[in-house]
Amino acid sequence: MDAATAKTVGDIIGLAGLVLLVPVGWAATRRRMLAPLGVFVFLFVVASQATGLLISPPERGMGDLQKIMYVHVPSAWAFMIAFFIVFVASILYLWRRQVHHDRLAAAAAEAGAVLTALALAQGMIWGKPTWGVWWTPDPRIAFTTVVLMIFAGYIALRAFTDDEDRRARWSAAVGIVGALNVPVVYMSVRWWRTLHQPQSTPSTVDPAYIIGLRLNAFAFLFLLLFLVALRYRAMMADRKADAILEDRALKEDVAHV
Amino acid sequence: MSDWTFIQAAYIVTWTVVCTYALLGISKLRRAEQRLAEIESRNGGAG
Repeated sequence: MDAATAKTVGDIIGLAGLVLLVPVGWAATRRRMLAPLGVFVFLFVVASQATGLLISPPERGMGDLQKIMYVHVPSAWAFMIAFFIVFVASILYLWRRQVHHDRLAAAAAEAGAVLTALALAQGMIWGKPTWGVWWTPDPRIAFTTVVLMIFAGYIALRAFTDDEDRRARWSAAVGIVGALNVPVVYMSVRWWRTLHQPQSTPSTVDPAYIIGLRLNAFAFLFLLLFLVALRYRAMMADRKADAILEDRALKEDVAHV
Repeated sequence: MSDWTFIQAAYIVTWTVVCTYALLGISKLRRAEQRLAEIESRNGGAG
């Protein structure tokens, strides 16, 4: 495929992905659509991964190792989006005090932490043959690790107290602070010119790699929405069940008095 | 080790973790909904 065709196909994928985001986002908010969404996400991810692996030629500097980018780069983009969801949902919770905002933040934080850990692991696996080391104190890597630690703390914090409002307030505060670190992760490769290469954009990436990267960016975004929807639904169902039990216990207490 | 060893490692780690997390999520959702349905039915019976 020549460069102009690859760029056109990449643009079409970008447009189609944005259009698809509307029904996928809608399906993620409907319980009965969760199973069909899971099937769609699975097929989309398999197709995107296969396309990235099969059509991309070996890169001039990295050779075939470039193929790791089809999991590493989308994982990194997806965790940044996950923590943006945490940021918005946490602010909404502190403002409106509605439980579903707290659960949405918690679900996104969990999925985001998993994706952050994956991005770091994939980076290490790529770094060893490319840079010669598994780990180096590069600002991008260091700040990504800080974000992972903050959200690991966020998840641990939620287990520390049974007081629902207190847990939600503390979590929202940690979630906002943690998410504020994400722009630092993003900008770190521009602020400090070290080992990690700057962000890949359509203007800096060879058109041969745009199709795979763009397809997988949407695949991981849809995957993230599915994973967040799964956890959010489970948390809300647990919360509803606990509320009924509490209500019943209160009524029984009143009846005994 | 060849490049493909590292590529395979990256893909195996990624999809093992993602699939495990997704299956755990599905399992937790099912259990939470079953528990809720049981509590709601008991509550309806009691009420």
